[in-house]
Amino acid sequence: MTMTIEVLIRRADPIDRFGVPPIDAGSSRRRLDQILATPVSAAKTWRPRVIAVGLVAAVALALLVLQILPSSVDRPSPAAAALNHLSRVASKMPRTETPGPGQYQYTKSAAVNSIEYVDLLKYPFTVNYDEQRQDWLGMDGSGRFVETWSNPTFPTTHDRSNWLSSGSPSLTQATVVEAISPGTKTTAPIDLWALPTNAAELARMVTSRSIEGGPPGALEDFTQVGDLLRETIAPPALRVALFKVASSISGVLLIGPTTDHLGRRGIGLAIAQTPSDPAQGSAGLLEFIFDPTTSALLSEQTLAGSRPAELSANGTAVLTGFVVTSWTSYEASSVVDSTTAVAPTHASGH
Amino acid sequence: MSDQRATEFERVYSLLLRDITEYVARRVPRDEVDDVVAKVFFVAWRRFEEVPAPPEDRLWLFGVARRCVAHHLRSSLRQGRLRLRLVNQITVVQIQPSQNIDHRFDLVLEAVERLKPLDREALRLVLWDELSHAEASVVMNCSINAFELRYRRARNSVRRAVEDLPPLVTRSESPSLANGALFSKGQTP
Repeated sequence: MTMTIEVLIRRADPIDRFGVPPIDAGSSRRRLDQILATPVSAAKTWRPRVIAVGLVAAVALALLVLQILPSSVDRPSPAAAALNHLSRVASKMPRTETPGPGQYQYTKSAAVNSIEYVDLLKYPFTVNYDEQRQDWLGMDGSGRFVETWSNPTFPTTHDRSNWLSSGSPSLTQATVVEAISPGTKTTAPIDLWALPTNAAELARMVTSRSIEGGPPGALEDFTQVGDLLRETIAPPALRVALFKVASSISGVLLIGPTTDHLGRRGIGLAIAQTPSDPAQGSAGLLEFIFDPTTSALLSEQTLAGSRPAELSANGTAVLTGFVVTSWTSYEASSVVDSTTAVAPTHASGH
Repeated sequence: MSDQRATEFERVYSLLLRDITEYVARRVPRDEVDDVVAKVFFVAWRRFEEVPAPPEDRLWLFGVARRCVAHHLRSSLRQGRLRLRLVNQITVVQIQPSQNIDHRFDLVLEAVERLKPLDREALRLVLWDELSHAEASVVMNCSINAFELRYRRARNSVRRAVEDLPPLVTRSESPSLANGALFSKGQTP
């Protein structure tokens, strides 16, 4: 009998193997009584004087900024200008319908993905693979995905050296095919047709993390906007609003014309992030590449460098010394009628 | 304090006590589970106005439990107690003959322990605590995308660790792997 790795890990649950500490009804009740007897401290309240001082300081600072930087208020940044262009393009795209029962959002993507080989031979190493993935996702969360891994390469010579020291084991990875069960209210896919198309309202929902959970900050805001733009079947009005939200996120950089890993030309926009592996560098970027003629998200990638990106005279970011550390390109996105039907790939960017 | 607040809290406590106890028991030494579970519900009681309606209340409580466990492990490590206990616990597990015929369970546990903390948590939340990927991303306070990457990285690491060692290949049989330098922007690896 064979079992998937998920089943094997599930069955290795230490609770199943070594037992859960018994939950004694008496002690549970005593603990509950103790908790209920604990007074609930009053919520923190801001004193009016603090609020007043804070407001005066904030207004003064805002006036100062407006006086010092009038041009930055009058003229959008290069990144905001590019996002405004994409917003206008999105508004001209055909209307889309929400997938009905028995229909699925189909997405086909290609990526480079890493696997860490941590065997018992003391020589851990990481291998990059070309990953091909197809997802079929219904509005109830049910569906299927298929992923294949090919073309292994080593990210560093150290990884290759450790692979050799491990006895050069095969790097072949089996194809993964998994059915996805229907989700619940909290796990079904985001209903893109239920989100507001008012940019200010949408921005509030993104930053308050009420669409997707996540840490605070501009990087996560940008990531979540990218998550929602990934599906080209999203209503054009929502995509228009999402580009407007992106243009209001601070720290977004225009990379300019960029060719993705499938050879398609697009517009690159990025935001700073810390590289996941310190060995890759001290500065990092998360970049989205959009088709300027359709506004479709063609690719996303992470880059690492030894120092932050510099700005050129025209305001675009210069990525001297940066290397791509991971990428995903979206080849197709459409509504299909079964978990085996596929959609044509996106037209190439220009 | 209103009776309604207490009644509502009691309902949440009764309903989720086992889930939270199991979550904590997978992560801290057995004799400290009670302390941590109590802390989780004390926090929930203090902040009960923030607890969302079912079924999201479960995820909220998992998030609290995650922070309580992390805080507990940090302070235990500072005191030097946990290090000693974990060493003892691991020794016991290792010398105890496995009651399962499938020895791979031992390899799985070892591989899971070797994962990076966030990757390990992603795997445990889905496969042991039985949360969906979307739910687990909420508990880990990250985007679904980031969660998915962590989960898959963890799963693949464990998969590799428990597979039977494949037949060895010589360098000449795998010429495509000869060069492994970092690839540059715009260049496929």
